[in-house]
Amino acid sequence: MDATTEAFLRSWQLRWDVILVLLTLTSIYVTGWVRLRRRGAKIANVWRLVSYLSGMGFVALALLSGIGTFEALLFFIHMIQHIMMMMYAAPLIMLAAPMPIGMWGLPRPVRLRLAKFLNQKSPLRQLIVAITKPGIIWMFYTLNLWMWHDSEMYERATTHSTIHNIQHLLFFGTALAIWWHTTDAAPKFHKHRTYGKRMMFAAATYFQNLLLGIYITMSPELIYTYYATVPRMWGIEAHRDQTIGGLIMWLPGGMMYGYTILILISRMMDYSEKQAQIKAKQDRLKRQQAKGIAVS
Amino acid sequence: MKRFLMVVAVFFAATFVPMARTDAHGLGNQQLEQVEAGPYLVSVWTDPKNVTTQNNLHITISVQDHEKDFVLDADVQVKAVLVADSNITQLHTASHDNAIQKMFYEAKLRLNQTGQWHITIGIDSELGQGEASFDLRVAEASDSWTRWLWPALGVTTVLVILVFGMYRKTRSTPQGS
Repeated sequence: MDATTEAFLRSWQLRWDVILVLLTLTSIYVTGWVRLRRRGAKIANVWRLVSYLSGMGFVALALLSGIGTFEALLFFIHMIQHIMMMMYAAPLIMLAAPMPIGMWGLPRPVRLRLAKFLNQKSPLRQLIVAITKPGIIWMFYTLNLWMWHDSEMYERATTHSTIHNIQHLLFFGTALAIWWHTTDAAPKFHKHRTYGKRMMFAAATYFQNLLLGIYITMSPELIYTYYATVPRMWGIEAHRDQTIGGLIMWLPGGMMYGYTILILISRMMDYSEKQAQIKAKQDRLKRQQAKGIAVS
Repeated sequence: MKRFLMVVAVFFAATFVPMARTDAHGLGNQQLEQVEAGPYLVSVWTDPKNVTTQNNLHITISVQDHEKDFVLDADVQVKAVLVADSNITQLHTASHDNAIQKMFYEAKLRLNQTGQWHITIGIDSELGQGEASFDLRVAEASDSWTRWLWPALGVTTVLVILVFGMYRKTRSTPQGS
């Protein structure tokens, strides 16, 4: 292993703001999972716990490891960091049903109060439903993603810690909302989302991600000039680094939406098959009943 | 419930404090960019942006050879001399242990005199010796509101929850009890 790679692997950052938030959210979720498991609730299964912990693990890795510290030196590492948070951590966390399970991790009075705030007719729930409609979320996610990839905004975020933290929070928050709709995770505040609608939603998100990835990859000029001012690692020049970053956004980033669409197609086919079987069974029963009536 | 909210408030307040200090990447203001210093190419960053007599100054140094490979086994010294009085000097060793990115060297200084300081980076390894320098202005410690922003936000959050909790408790206590 070369010395730079070794330095990369050793460059962990002890960020207490990140560690405290991750530990608290994880302990709330695990407490809720254990409580529900003891009650025999089906929602608290092992794969959900694994999914949640893996999602949190991705966030920790993206922010605390060499990926989090070397984003300042390599554009493609920064893209890997964003993809880890938005394409891996966010769907894994949403698949783990964090809201219902997490609520069970709260003290009983807090849980009851929260449930009251979120009941079907509560203004808070109506507000959440209104501002998180798929179209609004898609628009906000897209605007947010493209805005931060503007060269000036990008440079501001890379050189100013508060702006950089806001950027990460917005990326992660909007990604959670996108995956909330795509995975149809609980809480199901919105109207029933069919497989077809979810597929279209994932495809629309994939498409804009693809465009941005292609734009960065194909750009003949250095968009993110900041990287020309820092020492280059592993001999990767700034423009080549930008091309690799764009490719990472284009391929592994887009792949997650591709997989999601494939999973949804397979689920939709299963569902159609089941519906057809049910209908055939009902038709058979009707025919039998009709025959019976005719005989009698 | 109030106790739980208190714990949550204190916890979030605690996260504000490190947020105030954490730099985006641990680099900061670039002072030198790939400057030739003998057999080396040297880049230097200082953090924070505005150096005062009251805060610590972090100097991050990148040392590369002319092939742009990182030199990781050098002895790196940081010498700070007050321009107005050359008798006031400080000498520090920069190391990988202090740096966030472990192929860089970092030194932590406290320059307690205002004015212009001349900072010299001395590098010594089997490749030879090299030196690079830059000037840095140190200002009087100011009571800038931004310095207190995050801790103040944290303390305010706790106070608001406390006052709200006490108000609710007073209201829910039956009269004459």
